[in-house]
Amino acid sequence: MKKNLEKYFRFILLISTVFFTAGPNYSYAQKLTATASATSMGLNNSIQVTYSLSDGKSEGFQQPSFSNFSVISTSKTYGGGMTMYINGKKVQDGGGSESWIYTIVPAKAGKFTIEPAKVKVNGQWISSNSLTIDVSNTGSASNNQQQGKQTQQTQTAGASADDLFVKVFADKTSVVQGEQLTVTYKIYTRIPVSQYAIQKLPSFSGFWSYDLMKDKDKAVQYNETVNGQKYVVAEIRKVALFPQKSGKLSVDPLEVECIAQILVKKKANNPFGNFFNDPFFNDPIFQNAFGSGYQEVKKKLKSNPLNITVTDLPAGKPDDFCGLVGSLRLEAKLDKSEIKANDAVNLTVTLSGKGNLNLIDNLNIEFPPDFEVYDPQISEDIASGNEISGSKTFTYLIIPRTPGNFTLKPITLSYFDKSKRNYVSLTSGDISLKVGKGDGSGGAYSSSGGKEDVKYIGNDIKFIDNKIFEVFPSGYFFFASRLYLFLLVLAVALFIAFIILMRRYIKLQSNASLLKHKRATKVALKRLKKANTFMKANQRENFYQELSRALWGYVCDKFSILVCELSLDAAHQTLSEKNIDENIRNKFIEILDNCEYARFAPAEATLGMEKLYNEAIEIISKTERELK
Amino acid sequence: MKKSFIIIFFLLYNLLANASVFQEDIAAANKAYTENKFNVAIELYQKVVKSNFQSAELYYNLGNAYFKTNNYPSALLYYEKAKKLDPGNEKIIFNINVANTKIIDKIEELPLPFYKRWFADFQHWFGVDTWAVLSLIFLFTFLVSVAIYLIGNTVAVRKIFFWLGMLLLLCTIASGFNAYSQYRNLKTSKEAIIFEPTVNVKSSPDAESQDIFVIHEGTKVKITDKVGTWIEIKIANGSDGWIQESVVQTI
Repeated sequence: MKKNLEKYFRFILLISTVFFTAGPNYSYAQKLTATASATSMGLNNSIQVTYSLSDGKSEGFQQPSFSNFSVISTSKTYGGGMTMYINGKKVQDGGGSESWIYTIVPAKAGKFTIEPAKVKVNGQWISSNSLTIDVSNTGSASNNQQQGKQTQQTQTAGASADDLFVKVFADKTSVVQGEQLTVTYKIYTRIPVSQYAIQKLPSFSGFWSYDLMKDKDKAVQYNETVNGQKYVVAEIRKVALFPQKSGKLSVDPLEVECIAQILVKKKANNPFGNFFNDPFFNDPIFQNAFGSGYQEVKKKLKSNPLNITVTDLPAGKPDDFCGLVGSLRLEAKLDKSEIKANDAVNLTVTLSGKGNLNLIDNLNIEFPPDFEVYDPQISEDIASGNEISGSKTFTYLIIPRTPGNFTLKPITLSYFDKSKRNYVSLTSGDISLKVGKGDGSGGAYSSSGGKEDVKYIGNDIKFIDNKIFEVFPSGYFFFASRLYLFLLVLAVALFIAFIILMRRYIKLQSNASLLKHKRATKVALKRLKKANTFMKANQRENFYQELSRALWGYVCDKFSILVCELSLDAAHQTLSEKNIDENIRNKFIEILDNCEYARFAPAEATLGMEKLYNEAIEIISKTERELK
Repeated sequence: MKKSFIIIFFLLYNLLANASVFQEDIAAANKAYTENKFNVAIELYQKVVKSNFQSAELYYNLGNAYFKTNNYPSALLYYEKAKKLDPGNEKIIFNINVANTKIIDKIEELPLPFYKRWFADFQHWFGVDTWAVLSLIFLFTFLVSVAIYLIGNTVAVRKIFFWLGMLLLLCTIASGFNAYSQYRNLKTSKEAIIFEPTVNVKSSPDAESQDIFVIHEGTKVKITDKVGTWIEIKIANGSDGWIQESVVQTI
């Protein structure tokens, strides 16, 4: 009985190998046979390599190194190895069969040899035959020759490039630097795909990227007809890109690994496949259980590369331009306009609109130096439509330390308006803050409670002399000039001239008085003589006048007294200064006095005309003697 | 006498006429500076300088324009030139100090004894020509007071004008001396600004000799000697050595 059964199985195996294997089919006990679904193939196709072990139970399997190929799926089928119970006795199947099926795709064109696989049966390693596969460069040469009829749904192992591919679309391929472009990756498929995984994300080097696809959007699927073929299209990734530099930029391809479900009728090398080949067993569930039917095939997909031309922004960038492109608004406000010193106030600067808002992470705001300003809190609210829009808010916490009225300089920011094609400058307008005196703890003016040094905010040079100044020839010095020397000499010359003139004047003056001095007596005598004639003619008035003139003239000339300064007192003083004897002095004054008196007195009092005349002569001669 | 007046008139006329030639350039340069067109300002100021005209204001403004274009060695060169013409000008000294913070070398200056410092400060109250004018004014007033002393006929007047004369004589001599010493300084003392980014100062006028120290552009040096193309320099801290003449520009 056992022998019969064994024979029966052997028969089945023989039949199956005769029918369904390509190579020479000699069925020996415990033989590992390698078969390929095709020996020549196109680069884009896949083939199945089957290693079947006949009549034995494997204890270990060593797969060949599929060099030059990559394995996209493996499966193992059991064709025998069942345990049977015969007459209540457990009987081990002696001649079960096992198959290892590899679906492989070539990596490149050429003629390749697949090395033998090894299987361990009953403690012994058995090698299979080797296979030679001819891979041609053309598309699908002979795909799955061995398969029978194809139905509409069924696909052979490995989907063709037309069935499943990834494509990238950009809404524009020529943009200015900083302008947004949207890139969409789509999977096109004609076969069911159970799952996909993005293996390699493009690096988007040279771009700032923003993922437009949130999780909820991932299911976007629709039908599309390409080249007359109906495809199911799934958008797997949508990215907004903002080029950061100009020139030709390329977006790397996206690599996706899909697991496609391919209906395969696993007739080959499966004894049970044949054995159960009736409508019941064609049920997919049943088939799957036996390694046949829908097979999950991994497939790597690569999108086409994308080239973007980025043109530079036009010239004339404003100083405060930092690369923003779009259409934006700037708003700045304080939450309070009037506070006390040392209280906190928030300055909120909101930049909103369409464009690459993420690019800006710092605003240049000049705060008064007495303000304590903390680093801003930055919050973003970006809505991802087809165009990035939203707002970015910078919140500065400010603590003014001193009271006063402050006005912040307007915050300015420039961006490139892509619709107007020019630069637009945004400004926030003046922001004023009134800071009152703080109350309480830290002192009214300063948090430290002490006086503050004047803070030097910048270190800059002083302004130019903004007037029209005079210039002089280089090397010209007034000090070394002839003019200076001339003026110097002029000063000295003028002085010398002055000295000379003065000396001359003094000399002249002294000569005049000397002459008068010498002639004083002579003049006096002359006048006395004249007086004498008047006396003889008894002209009293003329006599006294002449006498007094003689005396006064004598004093004036003798002692260099100006006539106008002359008086009795002055004469007295001058005579005493000249050390004239007191008697003479007194007599002199007495005669002068008498003379003056007689001039204006009535005629009776003029007795002593002769006496006075003699006294006058006497006194003059006495003085003369005294002076010698 | 008449001839000398004509000479004076001619000299003054000459000066004024020359100045007016550059009035437009100076006004345009000042305007360009105010509008932050510093390169234009430099060109216009340099036009005046290249015509061999000078003034402290011109050099000062030119220095400012160079400073604003971050050309600190040139800025310092012209500031120092301005300072030579107007040594007491606070704006010039301030800007020299600011410009010195921008250059690499920070040289600790040797401190002068206080009396020398005071004397220098006194001398630097005015420039050469101001001192010269002052000396003339003092001389005139001195001579006038001597004259008054001579013709004075009261003791009080003569006493006052004697002492006033003495004081004015002192002032005349002092201002004349200050003018002279500054003038001599301008003519004989040679200072220069380094214009090469890095200069190795050698121990002797010989390319093979040892490097003693390194100075950088913008540093002021005093030229003490010259041998061929080599000059001996002394920096503010007293160190000295030899460098090539071509790396400096004299003030």
